[in-house]
Amino acid sequence: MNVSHMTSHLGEWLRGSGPESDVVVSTRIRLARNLAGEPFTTRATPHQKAEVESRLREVVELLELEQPLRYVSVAAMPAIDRQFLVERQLISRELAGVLEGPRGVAFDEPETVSLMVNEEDHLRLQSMRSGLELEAAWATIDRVDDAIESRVEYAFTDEFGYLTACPTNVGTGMRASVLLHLPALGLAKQIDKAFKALQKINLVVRGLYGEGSRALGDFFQISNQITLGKSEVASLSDIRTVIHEIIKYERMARTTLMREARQNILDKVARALGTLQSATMMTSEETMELLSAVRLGVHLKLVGDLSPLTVNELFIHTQPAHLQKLMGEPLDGEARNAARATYLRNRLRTAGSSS
Amino acid sequence: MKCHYCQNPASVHLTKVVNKTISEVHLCEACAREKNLIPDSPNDLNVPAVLQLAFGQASAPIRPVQMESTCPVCGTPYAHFRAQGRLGCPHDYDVFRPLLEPILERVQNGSIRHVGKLPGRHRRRLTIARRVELESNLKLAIEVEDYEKAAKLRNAIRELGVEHER
Ligand SMILES: [Zn+2]
Ligand SMILES: [Zn+2]
Repeated sequence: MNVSHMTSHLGEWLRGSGPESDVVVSTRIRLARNLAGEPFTTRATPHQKAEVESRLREVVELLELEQPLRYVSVAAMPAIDRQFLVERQLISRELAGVLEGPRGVAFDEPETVSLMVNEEDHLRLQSMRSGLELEAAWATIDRVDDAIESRVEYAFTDEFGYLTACPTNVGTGMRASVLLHLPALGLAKQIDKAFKALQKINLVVRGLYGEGSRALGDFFQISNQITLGKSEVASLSDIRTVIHEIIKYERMARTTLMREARQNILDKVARALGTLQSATMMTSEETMELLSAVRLGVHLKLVGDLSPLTVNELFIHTQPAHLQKLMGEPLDGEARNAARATYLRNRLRTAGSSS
Repeated sequence: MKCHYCQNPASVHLTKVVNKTISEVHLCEACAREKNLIPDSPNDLNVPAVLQLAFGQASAPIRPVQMESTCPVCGTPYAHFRAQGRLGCPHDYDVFRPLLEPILERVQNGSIRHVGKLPGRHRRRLTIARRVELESNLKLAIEVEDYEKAAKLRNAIRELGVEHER
């Protein structure tokens, strides 16, 4: 399969609209499932993995969904194409590069559903949405899960629920994640305060990029931690409650900033845009920080001629594999940073700060 | 004295602390075994499971003999799981169960019982079985005046009703 044609559009979940999309970038729900009577992937022989893959591939290709799924073998793919699918969040880093042997992914054209085969679990089902859409994402993945389960038997016990390779996923096998953009709380240094409530109800927050230390660009992902003893519906409801709280804090912080530091914000956004429009070398870290400021500017209506969709596109297109696909050649180090700067300059030529 | 869960004579007696009140639980051997409170060998009490019942948490250290147990289906030794954090096959949940339960409790915030979606092929059967079990636990909780637990159980029964409509 040639992935290059995919650079012409973005996944549906990146269209930059949907409920609460000024703060919530996207919603994603994944389910971990395994076939009954088969060893988990990490203990399976290459032969067993090939069998699991061909069984699941057949089932997946027969599913009657509104959008048909297309299966691609990840094992047979060049490294850059795997990286490309990671950047689009259709597959995990593990499936791309850590795991070995027969494995693959099926996804639909709008990229709303992806099914990874022979990840840590035999099947990882994911549904992705733009904005805060926990119910819709759950409804989709629940339906896909039922359709698959009508053709294969999952490893399941009444007591422990859906059995998974790692005990942290056993039970519902569900991990629901909401990606938030919190630049105003970041500027006001109130991120920690806003997240304090999370620990109490067992939600996990992590920075999207720049694992560990400070979150690059103030993007945070909030997920449920518990999968056993709490239903999917109850977990989703907990997440929803917390997300609405955090959205409220972020909007309050934005209002305060606009009231008390309007010139400073305007300057920050204009400088970010100016740098993106004129720099000749650009790392992905700097791109992330600057685009974060531009995204804030777009939602505060400080930037003309720029849609949230375009900003999302720039986030994705400046990642290494996308950039190389767009430029049509392999690039590394300085060449990549130069190509990234050129791409951003061209795309942002007409964008200007308004006011 | 009769078993808490069924009508058989009780032969296992446990003292349980619920909301700072001590209450005794009496079980028949079959139910105690089913609830994993006694092991297959009569001299070898399942310490983590008993502690869990008694204190709501497990704290027993793992003995070397347990580290050496191996899943007969996939051949994964328990030690491999401890080192890698990944189980070998679905059967491991059965084989390593007494060792896994305290771990599950820790990583899953104290819960070791699935609540939520059921596979379509088992939905009807499991929903009925679960309701019977929850209702008997509810009765038990009311008897020992554990109202917090009773409220949780009532919620679980209500959620089950919703699930059943699906
Ligand atoms: Zn009994
Ligand atoms: Zn096994």
